[in-house]
Parts: sequence; structure tokens; C-alpha cells
Amino acid sequence: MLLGKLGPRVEVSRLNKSFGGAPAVRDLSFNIEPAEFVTFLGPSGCGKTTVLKMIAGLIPRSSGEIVFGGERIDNLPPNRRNVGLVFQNYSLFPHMTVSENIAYGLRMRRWPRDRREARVGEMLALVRLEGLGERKPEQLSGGQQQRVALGRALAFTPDLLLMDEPLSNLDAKFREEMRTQLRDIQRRARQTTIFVTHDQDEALVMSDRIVLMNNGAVEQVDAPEQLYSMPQTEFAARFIGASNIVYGTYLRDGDNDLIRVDGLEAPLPASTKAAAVGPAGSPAAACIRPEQVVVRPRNAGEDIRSAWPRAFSATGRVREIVFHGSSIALGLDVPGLGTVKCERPAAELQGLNFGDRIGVAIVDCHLIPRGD
Amino acid sequence: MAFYVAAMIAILILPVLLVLAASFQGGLEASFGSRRWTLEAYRAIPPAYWDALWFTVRIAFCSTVLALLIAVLAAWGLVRGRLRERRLVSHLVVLPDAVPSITLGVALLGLFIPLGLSNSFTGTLLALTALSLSMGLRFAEALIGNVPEEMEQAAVTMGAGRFTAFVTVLLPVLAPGLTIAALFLFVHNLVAFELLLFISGPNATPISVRLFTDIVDRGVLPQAIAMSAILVYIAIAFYTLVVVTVGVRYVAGSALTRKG
Repeated sequence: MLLGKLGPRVEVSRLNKSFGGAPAVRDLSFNIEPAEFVTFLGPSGCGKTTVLKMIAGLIPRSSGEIVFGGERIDNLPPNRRNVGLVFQNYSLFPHMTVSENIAYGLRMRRWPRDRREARVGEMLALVRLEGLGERKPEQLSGGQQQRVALGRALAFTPDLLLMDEPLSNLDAKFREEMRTQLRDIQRRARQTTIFVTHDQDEALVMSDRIVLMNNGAVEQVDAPEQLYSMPQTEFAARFIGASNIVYGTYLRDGDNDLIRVDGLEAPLPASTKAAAVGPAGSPAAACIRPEQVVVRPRNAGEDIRSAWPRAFSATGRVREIVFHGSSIALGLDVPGLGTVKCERPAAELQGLNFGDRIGVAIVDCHLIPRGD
Repeated sequence: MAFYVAAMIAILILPVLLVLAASFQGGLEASFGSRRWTLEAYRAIPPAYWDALWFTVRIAFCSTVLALLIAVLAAWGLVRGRLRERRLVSHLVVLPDAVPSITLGVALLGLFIPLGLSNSFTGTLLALTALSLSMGLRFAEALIGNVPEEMEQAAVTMGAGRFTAFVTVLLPVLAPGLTIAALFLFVHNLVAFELLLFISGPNATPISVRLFTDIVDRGVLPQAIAMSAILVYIAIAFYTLVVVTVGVRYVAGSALTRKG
């Protein structure tokens, strides 16, 4: 079964777009390997949809190159770029059946009837809509319409598939199921894909790599794990996952990295740091993830020191307890640090009450350059 | 509420009912019940009326098609092309509606005589098309504005040229609304009068002008009333045809475009 052919490598370099003098996309460069699933993540208005539309050719670029497999495509009209596009609202053709929708791109490419029909059948199976080919889009649920849009964009084996927030119109529970389904379909079709979202969970769960965008520029390009554990900027640290950001000075102690936080006596240990952090003595910020904060009963200080000899420890007061099922998120008042977010397995925190005084240890953190 | 609806229906429908009743009773002093009901007035319709009617139906049909063809393409350009002058153009096309048709008719006569277009099918067609364009354009602009541009963009990314996307995707989506627009324009054109009064002649006599001149010359004859009733039947027939083909939900409510 021909599900998809391995597409060409996609290279975008120094892409720019301004609307009436205001820059919307600034010097954007990235590469995508064949069959890779790359997510454009960023707050709304950061230019990610603009990039998508420029790649599809729906809006003209101000400058820059878009290259598919060594060939520039940025001067081609959108109908000759061989790019599949799935819109947020699906944009299915209401006057055509599901099959006709899927066959549209094949008809435009003048595929003979029998090949077209075979391919439509293949696509219906791929997106699990067998038997629904004769339905009209209005007779389908949101998730089914979504899959028709996907099948329609995949049918003509595009060099690159673009998806613009395709899951945001689905309800929350179904959205999570669709993440897995979509990724599974993309893997089976070996389809090079750019996925646009403002939802960081979606990006972390689905992507091979994430292009984090802010204000029209690339903030960081990395695999989800790297982006989460080693953000290179304060924006990345704040945007991905929950974090406590505190400012201080970067220090070296032998082979160990530390940060002396403004207003605290003892330094915090840091096992990783961003590339842009200067030499020892330069200003820096610490990104402390909630799971890097440990709590123990107040009289168990020895316990903490033996388990994490380098940990920073203090006494805090419980300000907030949010039950998440398997885990509990705490807000802890720690003198000198303000409110520190902490997340622990629910079993560790039995009997904890609002207002309790408790031993708090910060066992590790990640250093980032200090923002302006 | 019910009172207002009833009042509206009475004001709208009663005169029409009177004309219909009169057409079966041979005179304007129609009443319901007392007098004899007969088809005599219909039998008395002279061939000249039938010629005029046939001319009118053809001209109304052609001008409606022509006006919509131009209006849809123009509206497509205006809405999707994002011309900065769009607003200005949209306002400009309302202008002919603001001028009394009779004045426009006189102006057209001055324009048509040197061109040899007065008293001709082509001239009447052009006049009616011009009259229909502003309404057609406003219909088409509203209809196209209602369809998300992503629909055509999806077609284009799948390999369709812009015009192919227009024909294979936008037009079918607009079809129900356009059919209704066509119905309005057609019925309008069927009874257009002031504009055509001056440019009509023996070779191009729309039924409205024929009835007017006869009534002025000879008074209100039963056959004129019968012919007026026939125009009402034609309008009802076309309305029914449209309802049957596009479905009642598009005609009765505000849904003018197909929904996804």
C-alpha cells in the first residue's frame, strides 16, 4: 500500500514578513528532515500562522528562501507547491461528499479515475472513515471532519503537510485522543509535517522537534525533552511547563555550577545551564521546575541533607494545595524566594494542611541568562 | 405581534388578491362572491400582449443572468482582492438606485439613440442589466463575504488555480443564495417600467409599457387585468421552482450559503 513517499528535506532561511512596515516574522530559519513532525509553538500573534501561510504560498513573503529538496519553491504559486494544508476550521467543501473532498487534489492533478478511487479508499482506511465516503461533511462529527481534512491533505502525497491548530475546535477529552491518532497517521504515512499550536502540552506530546517562536522570531529549536529541561531563554523557561524563575549571580564551585540568588544566604545547585550564560560572576536566572522542589516534615532536615547534600534547604509555609489526582501542586512561601511552586506525588503529602510549616529543599535547577 | 404580522400580510397581499379576483370578473370593481367568475378576460388577451410578455420574459431572464455573471465576478474581485477602494466601489454602485428610474431612462435614451440601441432587444437588455447590477453586486458581495476564504485556499493548496477554485468550490457553495438573488432580480425585471418607458418602441415593447400605453389610450380593459394576473402567476411559479430546487430553508430564513 502506497501510504506516502518519503518527502524531500525542507529548508527555510531568513524568512521575513512585514505588514505595512510592522515586522510579523523576523529572519526565521529552520530545517525539517523527511518524515519529521515539527511543531511551531508560541503565544497567539507570534507569527506562526503567518509562517505557515508563507510556506503554503497563501501570503507573499517579504524576503527569504523556502527550499524543498534543493529546489526553491518560494516563487511558485500555491497550487504548484505540493503542500497539504489542514485548517483550524477544516474548510471541507460542503457540496461534496467525503470521498469527493479527498479526491479533489487528485482530480486537480488529473489522476485517472481508477487510481483516484483506489487512493481515496486508502485514505479512508488511513483516517479510519471506511464506509463514510458517501456522507456529506455536515453529517460528520467534529473529529470525523477533522480526519477528512487530514485525509484530503495527505491524498496527493504532499512534500510537506501543514496543520494550523487543527485540534483547537475539538472538546478537551477528544483532543487528547486525536493527538495520538494524528501522530500515528503521520508516522504511518511518513509525512513530513509542520504543526502549529499555542498549546504547549500538545507540542510536548506530539513533536519530534519544537520551534518555539516569540514576537516573530525563533526563540529555540529543540526536541521536547531538551526544550523542557534546558530552555535557553527566560521566555522558553516560562512558556514551556511550570517554573519558578529567580534572579542571581552565576558561581562556580570546583566542577559544580551554582547560583547565588539575590536575597538568599546559601547558593542553589544547578546541574545544567544555557549556552548564553556568561562566565562565573555574571548575572543569571535560575529556572526551578516544580518537581525539583522537595518537601519534608520540618524536623526531617537531616533526611534532606543526606539524600541531597548540595540542596538548598529552608523552611516554608503551605499557601496553596491543588489536588491533581496522582500528584499535588503546592504553593510554598519561602523567605527570600517568594512563592515557590512545587509538585509532588500525592502519596508523599498525606496529612498536609494549608498553613503548615514544612521543610523545603531545592535539589537542582537550570541556569539561563538573565532577561532584560 | 400577531396583529403586526396580520397587518403586514393584509397590506402586502390584499391588492394582489384584488387584481387576481378582478381578472376573473371582467372589471376593476371586483368583489368576492356576488359576481360571475369567468375566464373571458383571459380569452380576450390580444396577440400583441402575448408578444410583449414573451419579449419581457426573455429580456428579464437574459438581463438577470448577465447581471449576476458580472456582479459575482466583480464581487469576487472586490471581496477577495482586498482592493483598498472596495468601500468606495460598493458605495458607487448604489448611486444608480438613488436616481429615479424615469430620469435614468431619459438619460439612456439620449445615449442609445446615436448608438441605434433604443427600440431594440440589445438596448433593453443593457438597460435592465445596468438596473440589476447594483442589487446583484450587493447580493453577491454579501454572499461571498459569508464564505470563509479558507475554503478557496484549501482548494488552491490542493492544486486548483484561483479560477478553478472559484468555479469548483466557491460557486457551488454560493449556488443557493445566487438562485434566490436571481429570483429577486428576475421578478424585478419582469415588471420594470419607468426605465424602459422611453427606450422601448414597436420592436422592443416590454409588457409593462404595453399595458401602460393601452390603459392610457383606452382605459382599464379586462384583458389588461388578466395579463397583470398572469405576471403574478409567473412570479409565483418561479418562486415555487426556486423553493423546490434549493430547498425551503434557504428561501425562508437567512441562510444564503451552504454551511459546512
